[in-house]
Amino acid sequence: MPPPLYLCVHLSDFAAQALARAHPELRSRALAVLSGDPPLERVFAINHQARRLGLETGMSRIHAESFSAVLLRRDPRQEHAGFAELMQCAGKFSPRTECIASPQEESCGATLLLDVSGSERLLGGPQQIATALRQSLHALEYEASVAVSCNAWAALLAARGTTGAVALAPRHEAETLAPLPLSVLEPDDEMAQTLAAWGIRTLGQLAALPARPLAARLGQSGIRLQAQARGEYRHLLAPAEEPADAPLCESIELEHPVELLEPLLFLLSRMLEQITGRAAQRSLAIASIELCLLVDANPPAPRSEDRRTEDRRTIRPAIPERNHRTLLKLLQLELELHPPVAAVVGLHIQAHPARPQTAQPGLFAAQAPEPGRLEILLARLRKLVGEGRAGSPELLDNHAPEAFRVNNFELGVCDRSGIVCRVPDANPSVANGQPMSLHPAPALASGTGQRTALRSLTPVLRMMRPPCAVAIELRANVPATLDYEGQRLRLQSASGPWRTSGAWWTHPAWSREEWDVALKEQPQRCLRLAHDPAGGSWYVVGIYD
Amino acid sequence: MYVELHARSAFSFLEGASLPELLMARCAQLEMPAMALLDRNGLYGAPRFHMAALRAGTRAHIGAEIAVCDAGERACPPQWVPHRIPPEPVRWALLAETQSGYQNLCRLITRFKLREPHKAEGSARLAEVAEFSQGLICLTGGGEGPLASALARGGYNEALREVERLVHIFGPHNVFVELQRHYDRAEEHRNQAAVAIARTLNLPLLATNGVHYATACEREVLDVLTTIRHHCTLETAGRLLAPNAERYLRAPREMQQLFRDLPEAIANTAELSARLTYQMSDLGYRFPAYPVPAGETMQSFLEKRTAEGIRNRYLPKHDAKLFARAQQQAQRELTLIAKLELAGYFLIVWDIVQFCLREGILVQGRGSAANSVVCYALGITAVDPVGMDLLFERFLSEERGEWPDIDLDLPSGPQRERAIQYVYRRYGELGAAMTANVITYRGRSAAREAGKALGFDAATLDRLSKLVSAWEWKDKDDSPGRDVQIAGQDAGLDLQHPRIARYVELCQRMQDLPRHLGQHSGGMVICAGQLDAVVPIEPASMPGRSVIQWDKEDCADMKIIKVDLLGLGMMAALQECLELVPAHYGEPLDLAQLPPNDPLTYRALQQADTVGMFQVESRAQMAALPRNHPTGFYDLVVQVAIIRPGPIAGNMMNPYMKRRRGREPVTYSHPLLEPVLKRTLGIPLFQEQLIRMAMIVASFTGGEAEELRRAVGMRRSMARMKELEIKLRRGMSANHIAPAVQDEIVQSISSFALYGFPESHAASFALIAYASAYIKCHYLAAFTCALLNHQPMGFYSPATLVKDAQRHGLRVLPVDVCRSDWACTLEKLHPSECHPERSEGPQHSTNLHCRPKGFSIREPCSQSSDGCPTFDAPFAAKVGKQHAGIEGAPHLPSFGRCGTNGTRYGNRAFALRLGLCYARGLRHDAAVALLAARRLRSFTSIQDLALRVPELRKSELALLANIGALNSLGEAGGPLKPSFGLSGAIDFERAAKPPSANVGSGRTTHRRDALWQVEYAGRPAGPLLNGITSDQIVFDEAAPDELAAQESAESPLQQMTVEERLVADFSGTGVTVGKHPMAFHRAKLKQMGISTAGELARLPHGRITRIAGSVIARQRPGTAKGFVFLSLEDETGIANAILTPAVYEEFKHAVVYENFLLLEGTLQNQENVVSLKARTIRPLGISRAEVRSHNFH
Repeated sequence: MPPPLYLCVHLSDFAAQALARAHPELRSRALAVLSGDPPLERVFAINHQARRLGLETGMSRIHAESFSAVLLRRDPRQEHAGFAELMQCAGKFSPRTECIASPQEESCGATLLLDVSGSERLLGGPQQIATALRQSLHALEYEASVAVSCNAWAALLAARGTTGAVALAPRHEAETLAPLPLSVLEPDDEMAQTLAAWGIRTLGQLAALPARPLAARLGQSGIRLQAQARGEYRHLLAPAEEPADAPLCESIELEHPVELLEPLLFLLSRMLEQITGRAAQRSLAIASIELCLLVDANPPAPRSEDRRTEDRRTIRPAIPERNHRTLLKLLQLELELHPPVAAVVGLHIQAHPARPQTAQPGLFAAQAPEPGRLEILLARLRKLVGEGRAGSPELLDNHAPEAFRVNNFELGVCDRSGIVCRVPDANPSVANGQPMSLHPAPALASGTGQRTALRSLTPVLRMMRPPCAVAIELRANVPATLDYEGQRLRLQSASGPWRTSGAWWTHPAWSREEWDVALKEQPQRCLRLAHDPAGGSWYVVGIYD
Repeated sequence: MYVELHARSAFSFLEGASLPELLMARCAQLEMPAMALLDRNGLYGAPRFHMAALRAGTRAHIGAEIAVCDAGERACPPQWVPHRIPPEPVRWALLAETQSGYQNLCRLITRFKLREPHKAEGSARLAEVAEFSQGLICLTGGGEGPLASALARGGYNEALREVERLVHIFGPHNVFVELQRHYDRAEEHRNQAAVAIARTLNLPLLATNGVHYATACEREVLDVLTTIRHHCTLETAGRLLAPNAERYLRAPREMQQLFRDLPEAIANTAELSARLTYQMSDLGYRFPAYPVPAGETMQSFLEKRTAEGIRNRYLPKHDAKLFARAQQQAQRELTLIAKLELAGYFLIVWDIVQFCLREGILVQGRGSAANSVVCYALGITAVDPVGMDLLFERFLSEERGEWPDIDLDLPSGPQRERAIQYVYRRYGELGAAMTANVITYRGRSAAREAGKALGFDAATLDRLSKLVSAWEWKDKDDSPGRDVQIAGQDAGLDLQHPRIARYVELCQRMQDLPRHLGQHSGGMVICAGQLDAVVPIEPASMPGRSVIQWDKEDCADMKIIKVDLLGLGMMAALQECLELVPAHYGEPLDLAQLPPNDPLTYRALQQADTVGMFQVESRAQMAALPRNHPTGFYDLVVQVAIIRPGPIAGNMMNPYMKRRRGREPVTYSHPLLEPVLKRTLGIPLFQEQLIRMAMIVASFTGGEAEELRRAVGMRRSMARMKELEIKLRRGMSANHIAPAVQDEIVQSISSFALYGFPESHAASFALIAYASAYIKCHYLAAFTCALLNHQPMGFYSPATLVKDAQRHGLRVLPVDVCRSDWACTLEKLHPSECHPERSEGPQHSTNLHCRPKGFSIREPCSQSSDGCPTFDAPFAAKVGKQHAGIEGAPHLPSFGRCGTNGTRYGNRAFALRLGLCYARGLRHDAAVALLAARRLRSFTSIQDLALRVPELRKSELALLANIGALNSLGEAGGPLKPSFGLSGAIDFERAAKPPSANVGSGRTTHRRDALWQVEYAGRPAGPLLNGITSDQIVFDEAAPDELAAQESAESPLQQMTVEERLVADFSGTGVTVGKHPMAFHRAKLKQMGISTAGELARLPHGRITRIAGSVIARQRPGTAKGFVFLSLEDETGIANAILTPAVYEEFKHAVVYENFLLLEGTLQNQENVVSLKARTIRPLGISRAEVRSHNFH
């Protein structure tokens, strides 16, 4: 039986490489990839030009900005796409590929371990295989280091610690590995500290330590590290297999560009039927669909011969869905809301399956809408009122007016009592993030000066979105008349101003004055006016019922 | 008329954004007749507020917001509104109407503050508020008050009940229903209810603005402070921040407009203000009476003690004239003391001194108290003011109307704590407390906190705060904001970015705002009756200590007497020397009987060989010492005083030095001044001389002259200074002094605008300086040991002290678990290791004194014919001789910088063993356990050590191994003798020992060997091996066990290299006892043309020279016009370098951050003072050892 042969591909700072591929103009410039939420972003990966400038991973954005490097946010989509290409390329050399580091694991690099045993006749000797794979990746504009060895982990360490394509001679792995720095073993902090204190800096020094005393000191992890350093570590390759929840894909290349929605929906219907059928075979439903429309871009993207560009959409039903018609309807509404920018020349659907909802509604549980229909309803509403304007409101911890955001309306987790609709605690008197339990306020600057008695009525405020711009006439800095709905209206009383301001540390800061006014004319109404002291504009922002 | 009666200042610690002075200044600007300050749970800002009111001609009402724990929680937004506002007790706003009200408020705060076991906010109980309610006015408060809380809790009815409760506690005439309007709907809702409740209960309404800052723009600072308080950023703070900027101090007209629907609420503010009659001028403070025997008054008792003291102090001097003058002066002082009723104060300080003497604690008064013969007679001070002709008016004068200030120096550490605890015990928990120290935001802290608020990450914050300049010197264009700007530029920030610009602005605005309350270094306040009725007391962070809410400036303003019990590291070191010298050298040491004019000591001082000596060791002192060439005690007094900002900025040092060396004639501005300035060769150096000059030339009284001194001193007032100058010139004109001379005198007096020393204080310090110099010269091992045991202190780091001691021949041994104690100790060396001792040490008196506990040098006991004090026999050198320079000095034996020849016992008889306390990261508890186990039996191996001292963590064992402290373990017959010597041994490794000698013995051969064994011994034992002793674990070499064989074999690890050992030494202990890092590269450095520090003195002035070394001190003094001074150390000594501002700017990064530097420049070698004026600087990457530099900012 021929000895096993393993190949390792290592791409350091893969996140930066993937981004640079998407932005060819940046390849010659120093590039740093940032991750984390603003303002606490940190450098996640850098290219070698950036490293030469002195940038390091882990630097803060502010610090990184002080270097003349291009800073881009991490793009998981590019990374995943790039990694898929990487896997595809590796697949040409061996079907048995283990993923050691990938973007899914939040690693800035990518490392693959391939079992290329027995492929010498097909691909050549170890050195040839390594060189061929490296060249293949180079053609894809990736810089990788590749190592081949009879020992999988030795190949891995060599790939991490060297550049180019290296083939380790059988039974001489330890010699090749000896000068490599200890960091390629990636020991944990405590272990690294101990070894540094011992003066162990290379794999060779670690390999030379007596085994049993070392085991007595560092335990199993010490033994493992030493075996790795000696090129003797037996790694059991765990080839990546498609998991049960692997995405289901369907693609179509069109002979002629399609500009109308109807024929497109016809194609989509067929594709969705296929996908839902395949999901059903696995007893799964569809949790989300990513539709990629290849559109005929005009003019073509810079430095690209391909005139086609991608237009991506994602649909996430409230619960995993099996009915392809429901999915089609959702896609239809989405495409109606955001039509493609140009004629479609190709379709690609990637569907992510999930376990279907299995709980049964309780006998006495409140009637909830059928999830699929509810989703369609919500999609229709979004189409009607706009993106981000339909869903469940959530108040924000902020003094700012309109300090709320609209979240997707989601059905709650099913329990024994049936489907529970998870709706935020909605207080009917709250519509804009401020308490509306407004007892009649005293007129701070009341036109009449008459103070109203304390009452227990709780008025309700209807907010106007968008607010209605109005003209106001002031008397002694108090609104006196109002041009609203084409009429000049006199004000009986005005309470206010109610002042709020904030975010002074940003540009621009906000400030606002509000007045509660009562109209003199019939029918008597109470309105809420808002004034932007900086801009000088007046608005009616709400009506008290 | 409107009076703001509810305002909080920055002394509400992170809840207010304006200093009290600023609030009061704004109040006066708005023509408001009065204003009230109600800080959170304290009266922290009240004295400043009160003093500002006095200056502004307004009235300050005092009160506080008191958290009441059982009165409900403050109103918060409803639950359905997302917010992070934490639940807090409701706060009652209380105002002091009368003195009893003020006292009740102080007691109330003290009561609940002291209830807290640690320093904490605390809150009062309802019953306590009721107990102390008399004389207080209660307001119903704003959003944090009880009315708002009750409304939120239970609506109108609950609020009504709450206000009724207030009325029940404080009485119907003492409760005001407060209304605030910040343009907020919810607040207006509360106001409606409040008005209804006031009408129902027939209570008066009161308009306030709940002020949090003086002007609207300070809301931003308050928001930043809020984020600091809640540990969040501005982005994430949400509703914790203020909703708008309306809580500023409004003008009366604005408030009237705001409350025009409720005019009575405005009118009531004036009415209530009129009712608040209490002013802080009347604190009711009395210093405690000293208990005297029956039939005595405090005055008579004091007179008797003084008379006794005069006899004890002066009769042994056998000088009748001096004795008579002392008696006369004492009588004069006692008369004034009686007039000012200060007898009790003197007796209380005397009592503390007596306690210290009884307990064997060194104590010495410092400061202007040394001008008083009463203090001298009572043993409070050690300098004879009559013999030295010191000026009493500097200490106490009738005109000044101030309390005297007596500061006592005590050994820092436990000795001082004992004295402090004695005062606590004697005057009770509520009778004495420490003064506070208000910690304020300065450049770095402001830069850090503002950056945090704006969401900067930790790395950027670190970088920024390191880069913010903290030098003492500031350019005239410098501002805190500019510092941050420069730091930002250096950190690579874009200053044009709006957020960065805002950041810089915020840093500037946060300057000087209080951050928290600390504890003063030693100021104690004592009060008759109860101190808690004068000022609130709260627990300090340190166990057993309590602290008042005011700092020392506030106490001085409020005329509260403070006794400073200051800790002096050198006193502690001297105290330890008193034990070490008899124990190890076999002869007693009495600080009261040190031989004066000891030639060795003065020789060392003249040669500026003063590393480690008190007050004369700094770079500037070393540069001045050869020029001053001290030959007697008074020279030392001058030396201590002359390196001060006052004399330096006043350009007095150079003329004095020239006259001292006879290169300039001694002249006087006016013949009248000759008696005053004769001792200092016509140059005014001391504060007393300034006072005397004013008294003589302008006929000022003592009090007026002291006022003049203060006006030109630290807290000068330009207006007052002008008035006094006119008066001074008028007086001089009356005395027929020519205008040109007048100008000269005024100029020399104005030079004291910067800080100068009183002569008495300099004399007190000179005593300690002499003692430290004497002990260093004669008992170097003991002195160095004591210094190392009381770090941090002085100018140099332990590493420099060790190197200096080694250059003087002292052997310093490394930390060793087999020999080291927790502290550093002395070890007598084996005779074979000792070099022949020199027996021809200086002949000095060994006469023992029967008063070993007190601290004084043998006092001057006579006065020379020229009016200057002289000293009895040993202090024979008269001032005239001193001024004559070295000619009058006796022949001195040679005492080389690097030699040990002159030391009496030859330091090589002793070695200094570094203590375990120098192992950074070793816990005291673990070390104590180790020492206890070692006392039972020596450790045989690392395994044995680990088993017998389970308190030692593995990391601590590794630390000890890393610094070589385990190298001697397992040595038969005790630890291995290290190979000493400065030349040969790189380290105390047993490199010479064949490894095979250790096989199977559990012994260690080198540090890595120890680390190898530690990893084995320190691994967690399983249940099976727990409790097994070292005896039971034996590796039998005969047994065929491979592991045992391998464990018995030599360590597979390689020895540390020299560089690795240096790095380990400096990171693990901060010192190295081996060669200096520079010594390992000397050959190469020589090739580079680099001179050693020792060679510089032999090189000619003006030569272009290169020096290199580890940076041990960086200075940019405020008086040096931007010049930077560096001290570089190599194996031969210390070299000093001067950097012009331009050179500093050019090489700033290297100067600030590099540990080893190479400097090239022009050598300045004049009058035995050597320094290099640097032209170029570059880092010298010879070692990664983290040599610590002492940077003076």
